[in-house]
Amino acid sequence: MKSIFIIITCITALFLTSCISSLHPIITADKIITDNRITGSWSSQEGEYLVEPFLKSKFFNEHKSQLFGDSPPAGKDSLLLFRSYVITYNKEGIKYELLGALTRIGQNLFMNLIPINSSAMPGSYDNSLDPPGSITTYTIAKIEISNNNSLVLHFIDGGFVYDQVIAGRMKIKHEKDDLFDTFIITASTAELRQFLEKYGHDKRIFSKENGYTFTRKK
Amino acid sequence: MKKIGILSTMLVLLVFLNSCLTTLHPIFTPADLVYKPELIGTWKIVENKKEKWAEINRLADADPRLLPGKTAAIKDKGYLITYKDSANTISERYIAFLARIGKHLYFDYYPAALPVTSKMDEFYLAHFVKMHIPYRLELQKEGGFTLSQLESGYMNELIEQKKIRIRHEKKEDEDIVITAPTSELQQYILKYGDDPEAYSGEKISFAKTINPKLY
Repeated sequence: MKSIFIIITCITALFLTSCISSLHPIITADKIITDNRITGSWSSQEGEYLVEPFLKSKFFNEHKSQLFGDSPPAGKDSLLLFRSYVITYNKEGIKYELLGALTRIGQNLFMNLIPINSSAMPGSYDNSLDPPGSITTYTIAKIEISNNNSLVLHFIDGGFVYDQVIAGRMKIKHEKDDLFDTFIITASTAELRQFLEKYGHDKRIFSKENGYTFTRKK
Repeated sequence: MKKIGILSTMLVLLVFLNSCLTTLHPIFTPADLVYKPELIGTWKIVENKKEKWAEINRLADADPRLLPGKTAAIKDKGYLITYKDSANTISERYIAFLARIGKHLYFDYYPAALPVTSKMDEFYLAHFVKMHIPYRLELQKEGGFTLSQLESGYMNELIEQKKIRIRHEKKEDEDIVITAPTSELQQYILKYGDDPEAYSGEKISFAKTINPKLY
């Protein structure tokens, strides 16, 4: 994962660069919640973002037949997907789309993010810019919604967690390869939730420095 | 999260992940490495009736920023493999190491950043973890070589049928991610390296050439 940590050290990151990724999500069908206070257009120091409920998203409207054909997903699958949000932003001529899902763990609200696609604008899913030869993973952010017009995302401080895990001070299932500096959290959903239950209030993991404030666009 | 997984599977370009085996850890240790200077050069590949080219260069000559982790220490035994399509556009690029495992030679491909990657948002890219892609390499008498991809479905079937024990994670969308360490991967290769069923599809043939578009 130094691939991730090399990425992490780049200053140009959108939110913050020291996020850490996990193979498994923190959310299951029975744990997903919605909070439509997060929907709408937001701006931050890094740019502008659009958050849409999945079923009302441009992404869904453009690709529903391609994705689902005549039979939309049912059961738990549909619950997960239909309660998720599509987050879209543009940067230097590239359009990025991620799927975000919310859950509450203890007293905290968390968002799980996974990429959907990146494409040169005007976008085409036939010409994805997503890196080949890779798997997609989840990032985790704690959300603080102070009012209807402002929210803060605190991503997990990946550098801190990495150091703690390597030093044996923090236990969470992971894989690490020294030669290629690969590091990924492989803990199960249940373990991840236990971890967040334990450390959800830990300001070393969810520090102010890793907080990104978003203001609703009028 | 199955549908979320399906979404990403459908929409993310997983060209190499659909059927070929990929692993989180490399299939080699530095002690296994073999360096064959005759692989350096421009190679013509015909795949699915489409021509493309692979430029194989010395990793030691590559931009050091392309080298992940501690691979700079073994760059003298590595290759930078750049694939270009018929329009001379770079489509894929890999850091590759050739290793002898048992009686066969294997390439370990690891994705290297493409030119477009440098323009991409780092936060978005942080959601991707690069995987190793092993190929069996066979040198041809006439100077070319072939690559055979290990089939992921074959290993997955062995795992599902509990015929092998190899470290892995099953994702919510049922995809299996092989997290076995190098030693376990080598045991698999040693056991199944001669089994034709362990490999997918046709061999990819590389013929040395000069791509006029490159000069």
